[in-house]
Amino acid sequence: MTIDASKTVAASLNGWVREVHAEEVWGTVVTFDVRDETLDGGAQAAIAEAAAYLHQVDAWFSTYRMDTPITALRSGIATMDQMPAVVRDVLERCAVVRDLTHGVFDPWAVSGGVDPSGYVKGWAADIAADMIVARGYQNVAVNAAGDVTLRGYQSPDQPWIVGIRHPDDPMAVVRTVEALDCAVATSGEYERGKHILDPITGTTNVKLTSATVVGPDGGLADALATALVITGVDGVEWFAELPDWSAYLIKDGNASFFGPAFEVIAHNETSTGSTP
Amino acid sequence: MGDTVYGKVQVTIRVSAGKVTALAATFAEPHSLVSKSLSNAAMLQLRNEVITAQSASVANVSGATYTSAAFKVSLQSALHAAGLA
Repeated sequence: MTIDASKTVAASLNGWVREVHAEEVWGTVVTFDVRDETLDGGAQAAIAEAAAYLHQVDAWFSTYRMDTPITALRSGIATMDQMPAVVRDVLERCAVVRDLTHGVFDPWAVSGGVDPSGYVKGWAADIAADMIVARGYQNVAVNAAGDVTLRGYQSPDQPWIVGIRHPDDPMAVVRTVEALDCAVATSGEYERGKHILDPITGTTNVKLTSATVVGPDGGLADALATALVITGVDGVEWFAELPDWSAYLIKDGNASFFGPAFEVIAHNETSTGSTP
Repeated sequence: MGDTVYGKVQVTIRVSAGKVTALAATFAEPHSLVSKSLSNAAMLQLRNEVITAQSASVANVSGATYTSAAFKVSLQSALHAAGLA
């Protein structure tokens, strides 16, 4: 089944208008979608400001550039004391997530030095979305290459609906979730192959095809999705201790889910057939 | 309001400064074993389904991190570009 994008977008707007933008940054594309009954020219300016911030994030956190603080830290040229406050803050957050996941999310376990990339993308999406909200535009979606931060609504009285990508079909979704002022992040290896290290076993053998999490924080969502792909359902125990979080786990064509996000939206779903 | 194995659930989310500060799930027709809120035990109750494609009026797609090249052939890209000149 292929989704007709024009019809889907028209249905998702349900009479509202939108301002969209796609920003090439971090070796990928981040999309912005701002909506309301009417929008003025300020929406475009607000998106541009948020997009510029993503490039600033790249200038702090890119491990592919030689001129960033994180590269200086990784190579031993600089110490933590010499890091900008924002870098220290993010690394402190990563340490908290490492504890939350019982060491499964561990930016310090990779070779080549500390790499907070698994947290930064979702963290930056939250900040970008909130920058646009601060300019007076309440209905915002920022999709950072698959990690989505949502604020407000997609159409009158309808919270944003996020689809979870089918692992075998880039044009299909397997489940939808209503996301009111929260983040939806997914981790898996169907896009970029084996790249996720299990710091506990030291191997790259992950347990799931994909893991999607829904919760109130984009950076945490990004990291938790990666941790759940590594641990599979074994991670459910520590995950379930986190209030307000839900997960949707896919393994070999079957899905398991838990948490309020997936319990309450079932009535809104329309099954339209199966895909390969 | 939605139907779950635990009965009808009404979920209320409170937001302050863009952050979810409270998510209350109350049961309109509570199951005898479940009280007022979704407990950790309830969250641990994994439910299973065979995955099927759904569209509804989806506005964004969450998936594993894609490259710029992969974005061009993604549903997210199609939803982004729909209606643009």
